[in-house]
Amino acid sequence: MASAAQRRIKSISYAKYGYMFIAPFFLVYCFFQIWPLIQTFILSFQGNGADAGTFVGFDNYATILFGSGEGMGRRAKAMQELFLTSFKNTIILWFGNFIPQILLSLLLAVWFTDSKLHIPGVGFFKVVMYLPNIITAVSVAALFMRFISNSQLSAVNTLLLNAGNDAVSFEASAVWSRGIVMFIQTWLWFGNTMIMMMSGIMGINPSLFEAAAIDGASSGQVLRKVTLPLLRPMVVYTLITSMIGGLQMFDIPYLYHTGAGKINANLRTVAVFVYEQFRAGAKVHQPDYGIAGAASVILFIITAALGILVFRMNRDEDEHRKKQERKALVKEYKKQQKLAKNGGLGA
Amino acid sequence: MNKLKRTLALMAALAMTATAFVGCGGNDSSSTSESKAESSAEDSSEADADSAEDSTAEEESSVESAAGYTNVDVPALGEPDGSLKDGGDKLTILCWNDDDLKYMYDIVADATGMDKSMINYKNVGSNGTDANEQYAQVFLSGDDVDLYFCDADWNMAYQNNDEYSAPLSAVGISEDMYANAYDYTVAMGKDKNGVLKGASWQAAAGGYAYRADLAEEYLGVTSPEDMQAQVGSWDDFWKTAATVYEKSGNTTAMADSLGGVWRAYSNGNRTKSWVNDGKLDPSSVGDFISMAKENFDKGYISGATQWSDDWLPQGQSDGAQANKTFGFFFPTWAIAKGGSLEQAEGGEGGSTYGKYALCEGPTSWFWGGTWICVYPKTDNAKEAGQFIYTMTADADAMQKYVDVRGDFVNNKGVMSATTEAGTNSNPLFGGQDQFQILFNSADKIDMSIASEYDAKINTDLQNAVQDYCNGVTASEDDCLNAFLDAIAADVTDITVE
Amino acid sequence: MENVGVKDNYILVQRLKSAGCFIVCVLLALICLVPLYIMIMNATHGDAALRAQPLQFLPGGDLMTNIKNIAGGEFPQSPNFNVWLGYRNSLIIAGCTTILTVFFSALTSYGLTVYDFKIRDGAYTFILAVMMIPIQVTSTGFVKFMVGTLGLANSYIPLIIPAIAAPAVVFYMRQYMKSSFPLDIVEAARIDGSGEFRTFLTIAIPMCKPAIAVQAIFAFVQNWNNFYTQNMIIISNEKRFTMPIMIQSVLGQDKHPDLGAQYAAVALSVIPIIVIYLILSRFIVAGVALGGVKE
Repeated sequence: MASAAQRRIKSISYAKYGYMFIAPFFLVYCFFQIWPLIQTFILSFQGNGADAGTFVGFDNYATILFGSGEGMGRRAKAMQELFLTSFKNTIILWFGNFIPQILLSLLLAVWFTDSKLHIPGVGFFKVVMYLPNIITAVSVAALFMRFISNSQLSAVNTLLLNAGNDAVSFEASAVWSRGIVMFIQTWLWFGNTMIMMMSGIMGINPSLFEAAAIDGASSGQVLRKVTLPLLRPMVVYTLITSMIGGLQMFDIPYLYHTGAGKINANLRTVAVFVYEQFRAGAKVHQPDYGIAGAASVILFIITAALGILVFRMNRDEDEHRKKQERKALVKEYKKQQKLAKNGGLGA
Repeated sequence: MNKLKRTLALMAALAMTATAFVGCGGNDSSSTSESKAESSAEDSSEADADSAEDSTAEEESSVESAAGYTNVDVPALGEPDGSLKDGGDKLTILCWNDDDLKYMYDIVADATGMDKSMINYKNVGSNGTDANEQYAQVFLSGDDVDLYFCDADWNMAYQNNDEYSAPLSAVGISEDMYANAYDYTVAMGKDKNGVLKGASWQAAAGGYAYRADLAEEYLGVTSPEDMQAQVGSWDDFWKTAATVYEKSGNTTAMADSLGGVWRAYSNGNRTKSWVNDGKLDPSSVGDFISMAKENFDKGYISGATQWSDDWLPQGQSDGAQANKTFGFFFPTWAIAKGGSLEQAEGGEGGSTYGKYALCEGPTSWFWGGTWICVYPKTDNAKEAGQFIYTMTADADAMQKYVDVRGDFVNNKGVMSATTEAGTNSNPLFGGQDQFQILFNSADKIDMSIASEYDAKINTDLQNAVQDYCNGVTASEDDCLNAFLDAIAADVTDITVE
Repeated sequence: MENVGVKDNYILVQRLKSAGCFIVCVLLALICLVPLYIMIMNATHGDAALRAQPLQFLPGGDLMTNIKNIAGGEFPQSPNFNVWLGYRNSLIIAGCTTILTVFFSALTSYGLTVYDFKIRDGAYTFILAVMMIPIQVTSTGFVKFMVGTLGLANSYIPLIIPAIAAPAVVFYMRQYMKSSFPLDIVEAARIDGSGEFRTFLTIAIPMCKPAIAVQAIFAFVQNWNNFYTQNMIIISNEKRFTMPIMIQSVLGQDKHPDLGAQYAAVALSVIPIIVIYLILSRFIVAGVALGGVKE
């Protein structure tokens, strides 16, 4: 007890180091993240283009969410349409890459961890399947643009033409362009998700599988009754982080178009929309910081809501309880110290 | 000179015969043919202020006025007025490609005694339309820039912004130095208050560059004059397109791209400015959408997009894109040495190298042109003035530029002399002198309808029409609405109803 | 007899199943590898060959010509493409950010683990809370502030310094320290008279090497590949262009397309990272399993 108390004394007297050690993080975070975030909020209440800097209240929100705005003519509705479409695109693209990605990852993870299957070269497959994930997204976009795009010089169109068919304008078609981006996103990410799933499965107590095997459960039964239920937290975690990732989807949708300056309307995600609005020069004169800010804030609110879920999962409840107990102890100790001090002085 | 006159007379005659067969087409064509007939009858026809489409009509009169043009004397370059910094060590020019600049170094160095190593450039490496956005980024970054090149689509936006452009008077340049320049270049070089802020070294008249070999095969046409007779109006143009398409076994489109047709139409047939009193006027689009859709569906306009991988290779007779197009709408800069046409021919030794010919096409039009502006944060006011003056006002230097680059310079005297001398022979056209064709158009360019928002408007319209043609939008109304929505979203400071 | 038959049958079914799964895995592995393989093969063929046959499966002899034509030759594909400059700049950014990220994340998590102070729990909760906020939602203000207010366009400062604050890495490292860094060691060091910072440097960092290495690799890859932030900040100075920015300009080129040169440019941009990956692959894969980063 004595040594524990001693340790506590020490850790209290060292508190200033705690502040020193975490200070750089918080200083930098406030300067490069919090302050820009506050700026984003402020900008969302200010005007656009030539009106930059004037306070306009909730006008920007009204414009992009409800398409209302006085004296804006077509602009209000057009902006709303653009924003809502970007939202729709984001959701479609996210679904289209998450569903195949999670199914593929689960399937592979189950196979690779199934001792009965004995798939040779699991290590090799893991390395190869994770490979796309480390490649620069811009390069991936450039590569796939050469393989399949509007250009008649893209590989697929050249093959079509060589075979005597007509070339296809892949980018003009919503189904094709979205399908291609979904494929690229899945290609990039399924290896990553698979490895996460595998570590999830391997984290399951092996005795559970043994017990199931002794009871004569088939692989399908083991999967349904043991693996999947126990893997659920992992899948939910992946789902939420992937949703947050999906909301940020930018590189591939932004780059997948022939000819500079024309973003593919079927691929304009929210992140791309925001980027287009604040990029100087994309507008003739001044960027639309107000619209960009409002869209960012909406994105922030959604991300925050999802983030709270992740936050809950990350915070180990057990640990949390322990911490509370410890806190109470420290408090008590401090009280005693104080009393002792006061008492000492008094005497 | 005589030869030129004969040629023109022949052209006019052929045009008349051609129009006799056309009968009653659209409004445009009949008015064109009428005025054509009139103008060839009487020598001096007055140009209707609003009729950009009766361009061919003016040919005769302008030949008289411009062809014998002798330069008047212009003042020498003045001193910088001291409002801009001077004494920087490098003259940095912002550009989007170095096609022109490479040729300018020597000329400027010779004319001014400036050390060649003094001039350098920053290439944003995009196409002319997108450079607009890139420049704003460069200015934002605070990099050293002294001069920059501006495209006709957006030079007004830059000139109207005092943070982006300084008056040319600040570097010792005055308007009277442009007495011999084409008027539209001076008009477009002024900002909204009438201050001269940009000067152009070129006049970018456009023509229709067509495959002479295919013309002979499909149409039996052997000279540019005969060709012009077949494409002198849009009605004739599409009629010929039908023949070409049919004879080629439904593979060859008359027009290289929707963008090409739009450029010719926009700067040749459009009569109203896009923006009036801060409002977009949608009627400026005229009947372009329906014309484009109809002829696109018939296969007369190629599906390639300008500046995409597919665009120029269509001009060759081999490869995946072989013979996809019969011709291109090209302005002067595209048919100069090293320009787009050379690429369309596959370069020297390419499958169609030298197999093209140039005629004026359905309308007198222009595309682009490049203005040089002074960045207010320059630190080389003196050299900036010297560079601009040499390239845009010094007739001797500009003559040199014509000789080495084959560009159409912004000086009537120089172009008149070059055209008359007839010594220019463009290997891309198998030796044809493109100036004989373009010289007349250049004098007729009317840019009073330009607006500072044209870059975005052009891009958005072309995108909307491309979508309509590809079936993304279903009707002409949808197409127009998509276009208006895009403008409304893209251009913050004008109202779109 | 019957029993043996069932067993045989069972083994056969298992074998068939294994074979089926194996074939699927091979197919997926091919899908992962073939695009990259073709990219490299295509980079060794000239423009004309690629126009005739756009997917090459055997190496050709035009690699050097292609590389030369990326930024040179008659029709430069991307005038600002300079492979060494791109590597150098990307390396500077990725290297600096990696060092800053792992060092300061270790420092922060050490502070949060070892010391007990008033705002500790609040600080940790804050880090957890902001962990999921992406740069995308702050980018409007970020650009306005960095480029507009501070004039830091083309500067590496806005790309490197923010790496000091990496909430996800702090989270990960704190987890690691909690589980495998005994606090008694700190105590012992103090008794030996070691200063706090020295204890961190000489004892904590070596002990956390596995966690640091994993996070360093991910930080490096992430920053090497970062396009979004770089594209907002590096806007005009071609001497500062990083590899992703250069590749973007290949995408945006409007010149006579030279397919060979374009494939070569893309290949050059990804080969270093592929090589690094193949060398460290098992290590990286193990790192992902430990809860690596997710976009």
